[in-house]
Amino acid sequence: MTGVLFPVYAAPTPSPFYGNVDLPDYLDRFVTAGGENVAGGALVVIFNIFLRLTLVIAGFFAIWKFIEAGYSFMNAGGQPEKITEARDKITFTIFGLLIMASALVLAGIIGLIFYQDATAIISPKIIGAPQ
Amino acid sequence: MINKVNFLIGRLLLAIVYWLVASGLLPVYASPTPANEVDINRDFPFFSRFGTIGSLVNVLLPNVLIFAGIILLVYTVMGGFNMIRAAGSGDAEAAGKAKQTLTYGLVGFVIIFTAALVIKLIEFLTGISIFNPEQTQFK
Repeated sequence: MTGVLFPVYAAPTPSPFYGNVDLPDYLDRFVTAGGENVAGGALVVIFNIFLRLTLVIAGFFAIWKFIEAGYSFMNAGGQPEKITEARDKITFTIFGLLIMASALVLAGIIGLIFYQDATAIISPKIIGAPQ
Repeated sequence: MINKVNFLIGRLLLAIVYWLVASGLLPVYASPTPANEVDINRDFPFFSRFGTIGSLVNVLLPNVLIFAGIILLVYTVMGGFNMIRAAGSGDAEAAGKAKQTLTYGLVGFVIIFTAALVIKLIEFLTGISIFNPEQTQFK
């Protein structure tokens, strides 16, 4: 049972079953070196762009929440429930940021455990039919 | 109640027979296909490279498992984002929902992988190659 669970990466260069999808030229700068001719690579590039955008937006959102929490502290005026609310605001923002930042690490670890490859989820490959 | 049980048992037996036929364990003596009928080997050469339903599933399963991982990643990011959004908004329900997104995303992923692992365990214990029935060698 200690062997490879599934022959996910059995073929060295799996060919996609739907043919080839070429990446538009203006997306070339998002392709990492060596990922030019990977099966299903274009889909992964698009997905990673959206993921990166989401993380950046979340970062700005978190900064906004911190500032908001600061204002809440100032306006609490010693009322315990409002202070608790402001503290909750900071705590949950930190939790959310930690979860989002650790999502990629989690994906890497889960990929390493379940797929024998840390990049299995982060830059997935589409496994084609045997030729 | 009895009717329902009978129905389910009937469907189960039917599924087993289908599986045996599809996996080639139960030989079906068919006459050669006439020209006006569909022969998968002849008319759909793409699918003829999957000898059995098992080998077709074998191609799809790794993709399904990888997709499960991608969904888990998406739900983790979504849960984190919703947690920031719910921070200090006063309603505990939104924060709880974000937490539930994370929890059930992970639970679903574990269930998917447990299903696959159970199949692997059965293969290991019984020596039956479930996804490649024609490769099973009884000693």
